Amino acid sequence: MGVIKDLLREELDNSLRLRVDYKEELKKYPGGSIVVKDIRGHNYYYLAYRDAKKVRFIYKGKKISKDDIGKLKESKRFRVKYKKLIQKLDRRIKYLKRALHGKED
Amino acid sequence: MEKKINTLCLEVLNRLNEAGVLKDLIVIGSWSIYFYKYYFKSKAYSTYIRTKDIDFLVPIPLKFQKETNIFELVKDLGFLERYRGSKGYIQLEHPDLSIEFLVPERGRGEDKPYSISQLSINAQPLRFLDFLIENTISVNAEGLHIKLPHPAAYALHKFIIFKRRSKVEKRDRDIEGALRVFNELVRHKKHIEIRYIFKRMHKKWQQKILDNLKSIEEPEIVSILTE
Repeated sequence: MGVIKDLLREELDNSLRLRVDYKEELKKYPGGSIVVKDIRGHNYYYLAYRDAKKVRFIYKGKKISKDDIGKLKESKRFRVKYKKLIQKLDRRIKYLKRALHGKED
Repeated sequence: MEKKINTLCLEVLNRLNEAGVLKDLIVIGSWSIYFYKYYFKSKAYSTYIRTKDIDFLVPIPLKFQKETNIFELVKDLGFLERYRGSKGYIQLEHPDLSIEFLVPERGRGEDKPYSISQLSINAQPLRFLDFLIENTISVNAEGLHIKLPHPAAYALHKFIIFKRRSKVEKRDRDIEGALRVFNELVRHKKHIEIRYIFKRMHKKWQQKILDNLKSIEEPEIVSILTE
């Protein structure tokens, strides 16, 4: 097997493994946004997130700290970053498989 | 894609530099081949197909004056911290770049990661790396001062270790990379530097290199080294 083909094979293996790792990492960062519900003149904070076709709300309290908002923002930033990298890996895996005439599994 | 990888690599190096860590690290492995373009400064020199891995050689004794968490420095670029193999060597991984750390193995050698708590990492001890630490150059790459093994040391080191590779493709890559750098040195008439570095090596290593070069039929390089 040529050096180029070996490099492509190694890259494909790495990309498949890394895609799994990013998907695992993504689970550590919750998605969603903070929403405020006004119920009888009082503000109540919820974390709204999508679960398949449904939008779910998790009650967070009558107040929400700046720290929580900061954490959520950071979580969002990482989710966006990781999703982009997963997409990149998807494209790379597709390309490498074509180049190697291989199959994913 | 190539440009993006280079940008990412330079960003990592830039962050290490800003944290005051880069000056105490040596970039080794196939990325050295890329950075030698700032040393050779010739259009004819091709930076070759390199792997994504960027290996940092950490000289011992450690010189870091303050604690820096390297993973935290690069995490927002999308790097993941992973533990490689059964020994658990730390690897910072990104689709375009993989960062690893190495230290020279001394004495009998220990088959476990070398902890570098100042950087919150561990490093893999490997043989023959002291030789690279003893022969370094510094290049100015996009405003960054990057420490590299002298190209002659790089090539000679590869001429020793390629025989120790279990994977044929890695062995072939070592040989190709070493020949490319060595031939560029010859093109720049750096024979004196090559021989100076070669002669400073342990006699056994010199002999090993000559034997290895004969095994891959490179008599011209043998004659340059033994002139």
